[in-house]
Amino acid sequence: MRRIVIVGASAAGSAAAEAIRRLDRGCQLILISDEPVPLYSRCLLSDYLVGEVTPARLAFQRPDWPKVLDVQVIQDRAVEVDPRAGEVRTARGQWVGYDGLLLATGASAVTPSIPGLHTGGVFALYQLQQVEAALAVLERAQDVVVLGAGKVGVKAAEAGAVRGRRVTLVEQARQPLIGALDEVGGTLVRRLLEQHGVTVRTGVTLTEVRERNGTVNEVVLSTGEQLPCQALLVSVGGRPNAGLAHQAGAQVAEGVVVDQRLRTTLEGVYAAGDVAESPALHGTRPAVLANWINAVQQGRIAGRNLAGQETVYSGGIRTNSLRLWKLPTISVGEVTGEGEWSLDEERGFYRRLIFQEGRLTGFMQVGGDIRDAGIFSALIKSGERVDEPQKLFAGGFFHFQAQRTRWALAGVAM
Amino acid sequence: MAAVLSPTMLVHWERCDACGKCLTACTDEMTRQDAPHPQVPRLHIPWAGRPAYVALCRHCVEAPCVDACISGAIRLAGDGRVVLVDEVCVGCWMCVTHCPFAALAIADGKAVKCNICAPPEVIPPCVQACPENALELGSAEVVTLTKARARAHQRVGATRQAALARVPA
Repeated sequence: MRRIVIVGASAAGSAAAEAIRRLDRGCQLILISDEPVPLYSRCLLSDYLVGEVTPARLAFQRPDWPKVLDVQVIQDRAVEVDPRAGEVRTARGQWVGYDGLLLATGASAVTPSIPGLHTGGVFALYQLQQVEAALAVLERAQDVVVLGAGKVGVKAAEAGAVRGRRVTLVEQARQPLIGALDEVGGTLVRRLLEQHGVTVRTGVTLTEVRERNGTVNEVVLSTGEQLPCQALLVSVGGRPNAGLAHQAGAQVAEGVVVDQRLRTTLEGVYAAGDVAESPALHGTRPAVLANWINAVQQGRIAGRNLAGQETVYSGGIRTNSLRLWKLPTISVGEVTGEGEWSLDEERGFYRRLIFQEGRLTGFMQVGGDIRDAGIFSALIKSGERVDEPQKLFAGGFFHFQAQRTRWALAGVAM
Repeated sequence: MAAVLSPTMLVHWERCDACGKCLTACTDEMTRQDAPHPQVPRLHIPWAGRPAYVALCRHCVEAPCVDACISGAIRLAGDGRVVLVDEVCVGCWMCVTHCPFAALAIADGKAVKCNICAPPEVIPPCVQACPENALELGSAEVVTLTKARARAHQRVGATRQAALARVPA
């Protein structure tokens, strides 16, 4: 019997299992995961930290899905792949043979090298247990420092602020959400954070973490300032868990290099999700696109190929969406380029469309009505020419005025 | 047993004159069903010109909103409907970011969408309410077929007949 082994049970791994079972009920399907299955949704961890999600709602799969899909789960860490023999070894020394292998090992948090960082009260926010430990400390800490103002960092700042803590958000770049928003958008997010009492320090880094009795007590900024701190939340980005693929001899650049069918350079070995460096949309440079939807879609396509149905991945796009307090923030595709933009400063409403050679390549919005955001994503994905860009603002069904008409018709208050 | 067809909602743009009767029918039905956010219509008309744009869920076969959902709130049901479960939604707006039809509404920090009121043999109230017959409950398979036929029609010259011949009627 043909045996397919999947390493990793998150978005890509579970989507692959579903896709394989849809095509092939007969093969043996083995899932190796070092975290409990069904897994919690990693994207929900920052909402959990804020208190918007209860622990019971952290799962994204039905509890019985391995059984429903007839997937055998090995609760262990995969530590070695022997591509010649076609076998995976787990930490407990079990060798599992495969005919097809999917590496959906995801990513993990980057740990910055700061003297004194490895002490109590310092947390990365990548795994459930880290977030739970951070929550316990947030209950009693008065001064919270968040390092890194990316998506997780700003949510961590919100988590501290909603609990009434003194929060300082430290970001090396000149603005929060640097990879997702331009200067105007970043300014709006900064303003929102400040309105809720968060001190936003941009253009600075942490140079030292000082402890007392085994737990963080003070941090030192690159400006020389010393801040009291009983909880330090670190989120400075992720890095693909490409170690397994690298050890096996697959080509690894930023992530595990895959082709359009999600095949690595090793026979019968595929990679999908945050670990993969996949061909991007419209022939742009291959990239690691670490987000949920790309992981699910890549997992599904890798699954189909593993099950013998040749399927091509058309490429994903960078995408981010986030709710900070009640303010929606969406960013898709490129952040820089020629732009058409609109700002309703009074209501803190910002939307920008980014073009390159007459094609929509990026979209960002902070606040306001986001209902038609998906149309812009679709336009970016299709890559069609937009001859009169202003029409996306001032004509057709994209019209701002039309949005107001829509709300009036729908009887919903803005 | 006959093959189960995946339901989908079709819009005939050119017929819609944006009277808004479908919206009222929707909120009335949501109230009657005691659904979450009953005052928020599951469809909307962002552009009331001619042709108008009616935004509503098409219950895509491979739906981007299902792929994008980080909480498992939006799922493909066994009968082909794309269903959102309100209690599970966390309002991350990933579905809103990826729906090419702008079909999701937002209420109280959650996404709201059409789950299709009735099984396919019953006509949904919004479809019934439309005086211009601009809304139609169809099946994804038939739409795909129609689209394939339309594409075939677009091809010109010698290939046209050949292309048409390949598409099952």
